[in-house]
Amino acid sequence: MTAQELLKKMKGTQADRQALMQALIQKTMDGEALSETEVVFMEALKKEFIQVRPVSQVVEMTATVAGGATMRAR
Amino acid sequence: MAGFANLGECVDAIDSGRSTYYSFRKTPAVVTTASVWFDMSMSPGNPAPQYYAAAPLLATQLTQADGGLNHGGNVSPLSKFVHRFLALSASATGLPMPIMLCDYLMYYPFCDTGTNDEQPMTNSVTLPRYASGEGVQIMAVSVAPNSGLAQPTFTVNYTNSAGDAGRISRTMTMNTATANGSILTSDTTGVTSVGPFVGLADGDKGVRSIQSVTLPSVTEVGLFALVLVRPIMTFALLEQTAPTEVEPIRTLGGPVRVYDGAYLNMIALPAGSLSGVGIFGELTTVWN
Repeated sequence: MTAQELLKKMKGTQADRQALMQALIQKTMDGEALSETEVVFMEALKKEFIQVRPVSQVVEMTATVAGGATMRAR
Repeated sequence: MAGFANLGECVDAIDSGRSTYYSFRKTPAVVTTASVWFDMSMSPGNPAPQYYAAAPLLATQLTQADGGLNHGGNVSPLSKFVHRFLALSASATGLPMPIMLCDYLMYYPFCDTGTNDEQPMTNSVTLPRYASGEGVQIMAVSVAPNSGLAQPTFTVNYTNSAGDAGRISRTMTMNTATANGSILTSDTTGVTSVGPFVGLADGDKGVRSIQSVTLPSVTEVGLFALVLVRPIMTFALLEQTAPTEVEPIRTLGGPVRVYDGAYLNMIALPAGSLSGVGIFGELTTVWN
C-alpha cells in the first residue's frame, strides 16, 4: 500500500482503521516485514485499539484467523 | 531560591543526590544523506524510538512519559539543569556531525504531500512546556518517504509566541532525500534550504500552535509530521577517536534548563550515512 492509501484508511471510519490494523497484523503473520511507513501507521493504530490493562481486568478471547487456525489472546 | 548561585551549590547538589545519570545509544536503521538533518528520535536504541504516531493532523503532546533521554523525575519547585552531556560515535562514517539537543513539545502527524488542498490541524491541546511558544521552532520530519523526483514547496499557517494567529511561514522547499526521519527542509546543498527549522515570518520569536499546512503546487508521495521543538543545546562530534563533552555551566557560560516532563532527544547533521552507526552518550542532570 502507498502512503496515501494508508492515510486514506487512517482518516476513514473506525472500521476502516480496524481493517487496516488487521491487514498489517496479517502481513506480519504471513512472515512479511512491515515497511518503515507501515510501522508508523501500526504505532498509531496500536494507540487507538490496544490498551494495556491491569491483570485484574485481563480477559481471554479466541479468534479464528485466515486458514482456520484458532488464535487465543489475553 | 531555585537554581544555583555559584558552582559550589551545584557541587553540593550532586553530593546531596540531586542528580541523575543516564547513558544512551541511538543506531539509525535508515540510510541517511550527507548534509541533511536527521531526527534521532525515530531511530532504534535506548531510549526506544517514537514514530509521531497519532490521529492525522491532531495536535499531540510529547512528554517524558513517551520516552526520550531520561533526565530524572519531576523536581518542581526546584529547577533542573543539564550538568554534563557526552556523545561519541562508533564509526568515523557520518562525521563531523553537529548535534542539537531539543525538547520535543508537540507534533501534528501525517501531513500529506499528495494534495494541494489546505490541511487544517486540530488543536485540542496546547504546548506542554514553553507555553508562550517563545523560542519554539517547527521541524518537518519525513514519516513516509517522498520519491525524490519532485521538490514540493509548502507554507505553514501558525500562531506566533505573541499570540498572533494567521502568521505564514516562508515558502519551504522539500529535499530530494527520502529517508524516514530526515528533516524535509534541510538539504544544505540546495540553495532553497533553510536548515532544520521552518523559516518563520519576519519578527516572530517562536510558535505557539499550527493551524494548517499547504503545498501550493507540486505534489509528491510521502507523508511528514510537523514537530514543535525547543532547541536547548548544540555541539558537534568531530571525530571517532574523541568523544565530545559539554558541561554547560563551564563550557557554555551558563546553565541549560530542563523542565519537568521534558521529552529530550536529538537531531543531527551527518556527513554521510548513519545506517547501523551507533551514537553513544551520557546525560547528567542536576537540580536545586
